[in-house]
Amino acid sequence: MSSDNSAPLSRRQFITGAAAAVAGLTIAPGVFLLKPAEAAQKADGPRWGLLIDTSKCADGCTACVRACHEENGVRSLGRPETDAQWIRKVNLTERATGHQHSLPVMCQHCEDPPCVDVCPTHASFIRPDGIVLVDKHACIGCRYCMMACPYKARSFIHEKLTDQKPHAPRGKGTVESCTLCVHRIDRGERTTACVEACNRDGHQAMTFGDLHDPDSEISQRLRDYGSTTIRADLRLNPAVRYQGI
Amino acid sequence: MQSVFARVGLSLPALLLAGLVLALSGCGKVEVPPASLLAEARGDQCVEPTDVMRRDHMKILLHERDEAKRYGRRNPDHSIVGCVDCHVSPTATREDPATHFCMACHEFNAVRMDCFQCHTDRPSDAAPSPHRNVELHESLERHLAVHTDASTNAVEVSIP
Repeated sequence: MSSDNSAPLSRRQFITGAAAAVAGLTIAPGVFLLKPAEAAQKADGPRWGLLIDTSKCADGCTACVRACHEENGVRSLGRPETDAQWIRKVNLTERATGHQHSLPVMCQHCEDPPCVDVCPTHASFIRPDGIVLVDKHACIGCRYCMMACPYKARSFIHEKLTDQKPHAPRGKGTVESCTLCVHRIDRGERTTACVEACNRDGHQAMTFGDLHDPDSEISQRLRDYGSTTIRADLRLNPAVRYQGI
Repeated sequence: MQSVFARVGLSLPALLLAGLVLALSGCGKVEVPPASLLAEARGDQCVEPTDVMRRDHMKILLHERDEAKRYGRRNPDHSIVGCVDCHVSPTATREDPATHFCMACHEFNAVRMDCFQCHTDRPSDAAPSPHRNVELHESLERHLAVHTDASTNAVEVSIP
C-alpha cells in the first residue's frame, strides 16, 4: 500500500477515524466521551417556557389562576383538600426584612423531570418541545409522580367529572397538571391562558416563548436581566423561570 | 326413547321461533335517536367511507392517538373531538345513550369502554366543526321542519 495522503483508508483506519469524528473527545483507546444524541436532538426544535417577573405580580391577584382553570375546565367540587390545582399563587415573606411578594407556581416543565423518572407506566412524559404531560390512557393513578415532584405541581382527580373541555380530557383516577396550554401551542398560538390574563389585567408579569430561539422575547429578557429557578439546587433545569425571588 | 325424540322434534321449531321472536324484540328495544337530534348533529360527509368508520373507527383513533399526544402531530379529521363535533347533538348526553350517536351504538354492542368519562360528550360550542356543512345543515333543518309529523316524530323521506 502506498504511503501518500490520497491512499485509501484501511478498514481499521476508517472505523477509528469515524469513531473519533463522532466522539469529540477520546479519553483512552476505545473509550469515548459521546455527546448524548437526545440532547443534540432537543436543541433543534423549540423549547417552550415561561418567565415570571415577581416584582410585577400583584399581591392578591389571581387572574392567571382563574384563567387557567376556566380554560381547562378545572372546577372546585367544594372540597379544597382534594380540588385540582393546575396553578396557584404562593406568598413569600423574607424573614430578615419582612419583604413580601407573591408568585404563581405551576408545573415547571423540567428538562429532567422527576415525575417522568418515577412513572411505572411511562404515562408521565416529556414532549420533544419540553412540555411535561400525563398520558391519561396509561396513568394508573399511583401518584408516584405527585410525591416525586418538588414543586407540588400535580393533582389527582378523586371524583367523577362532567362537562370537560374538548381540548382537556380529565377523568377520575388519573393525575394531571399544567399542560402549558398545549392545545393552543398545537394550534399555532404562541401564548397561554395565564399569560393572556396577566397581560389583560395590565400586570405584564408573565412572558411565554421559545427558550431555544435566541431572538424570542423570553430569551432576550433572560439574557439581559437574568433569572432564577425554584429549587435550582436540584438541577432539573425548569422551563418556568422567575425574576425577583 | 321414541317419545323423547318426538318431543325434541316438536320443540325444536318452537325454540327457533322463540329465539327469532326474542332477537326481533331485542332489536325493537334499541331506541333510535329522535330524527331531530341526529339531524342536528349531522355533517355532510364523514372523514372516511362509512363502512370503514363502522369497522375501524377505534383503530383510527388509537393509531393516531400517541402521535397527537406525545408529539403534538394532530389530525383534526381523526380526533375524537372531530367525531363528537360532527355526530353528537349539542343537547345529547352520555347519561341518556338514546340521544347520543356514539353511546347508542356502544350500548347496543355492549362496548364497555366509555370514552366520555374523560372526553367531552358533546360538541364544543366555541368552534363549530370544520366538517359541518352549514348550508346543508340548515336546508335539512328546514326540510325536517316541514316534513316531520310532530305527533309521531316520523320523517317523510323521498329518495330520488
